Amino acid sequence: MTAPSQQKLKVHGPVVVTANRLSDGAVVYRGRLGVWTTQLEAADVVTNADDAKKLLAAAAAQDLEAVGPYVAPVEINGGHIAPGNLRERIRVAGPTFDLPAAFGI
Amino acid sequence: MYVYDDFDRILVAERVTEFRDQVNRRLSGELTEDEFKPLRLMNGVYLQLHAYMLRIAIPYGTLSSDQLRTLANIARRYDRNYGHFTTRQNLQFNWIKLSDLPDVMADLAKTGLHGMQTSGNVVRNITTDQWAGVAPDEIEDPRIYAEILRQHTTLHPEFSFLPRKFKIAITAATHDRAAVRVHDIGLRLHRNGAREVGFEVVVGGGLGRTPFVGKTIKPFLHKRDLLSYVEAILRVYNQYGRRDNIYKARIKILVHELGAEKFAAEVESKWQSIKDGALAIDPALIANVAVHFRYPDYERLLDGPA
Repeated sequence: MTAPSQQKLKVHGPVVVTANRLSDGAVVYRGRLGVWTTQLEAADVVTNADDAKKLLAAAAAQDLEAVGPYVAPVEINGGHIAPGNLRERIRVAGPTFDLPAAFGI
Repeated sequence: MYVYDDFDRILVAERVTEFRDQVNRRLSGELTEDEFKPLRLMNGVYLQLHAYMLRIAIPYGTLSSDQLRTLANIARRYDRNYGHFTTRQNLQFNWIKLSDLPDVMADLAKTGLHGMQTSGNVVRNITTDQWAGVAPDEIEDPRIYAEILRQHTTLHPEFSFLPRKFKIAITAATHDRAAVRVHDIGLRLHRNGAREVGFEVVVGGGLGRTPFVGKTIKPFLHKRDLLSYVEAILRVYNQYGRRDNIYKARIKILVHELGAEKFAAEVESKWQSIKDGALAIDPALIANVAVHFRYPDYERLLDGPA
């Protein structure tokens, strides 16, 4: 299997690198200062394949903090970063059904 | 329910020690994710969209009050106060932290619970009729045979890297509440013309994106041959099942592409070479497993509407 850093990347618009945090599986994004953050707003956004590859390679090198990094599309609306597809919207917003907490459990 | 003996208890306790070491090595960086992933998947630990998930086996869907209290305690202490019971009689915790998992497994082990055989390409938790043991229309308790299969396939090195997950269901009732025809192997206990009790063996059933009704490849299998015949099926699947495409890797695809008759012939050929060996089931084994099933003091009531 081809390593993520060696995969052909097609970048059509703004993208970020995302993964799951090793300790608890939380959704994290590669931040602008090379740190992982749970805030999409703080993610480093790039717009071409070469930059995305570099970002991904740096993320993959930090295997101890985040698991399974990959490039995900985003949309920039009025300076705000929003997820670029349904999967990423769900990853940001959480499960698509009411969790038991909504029923007071 | 089935009560574990010392062998089972030691096996589960040793598994906790081993898993604690594996998690520590992952968290310290000694293991990469690629190295750790197959290890966690041997213990029911998935990394899903939002968090880790731990799947716990509940053989035959029965729990003691101690076990249920343990699960409730884990939900409160390590998760979000709830768990999710699955259609195949397991329980999943969806918000468990990796660093807490060794302690969770240790708590589970105290009451004989674990996540073995609940993930990965192995023989999964074997299911039966939800009313097994008390169903008026069953000819025997199917859980005894499910338990023999569970013990044989748990951590079995030959069947730890199958092409894909493998699900077995057993029913002994006239009404198939175990849905045996939509399992990788479905076993139906019934009587033949000579009034002997044995299994109809169905293979290649399944749901999901490619649903199939399973095909009967052995209308009657004597009880002594259960392990050897299932082993022969697993060997044929292990040898010929596809590993190049996850969507075509289940045994249902192999049975469909090979044809039930050809598949049955392959199984028969393998089975003939092992059927009279160590896997032949001694009636004493069946009796020994049966005594480990404890039944509550049921009140005897008349069947029929009140």
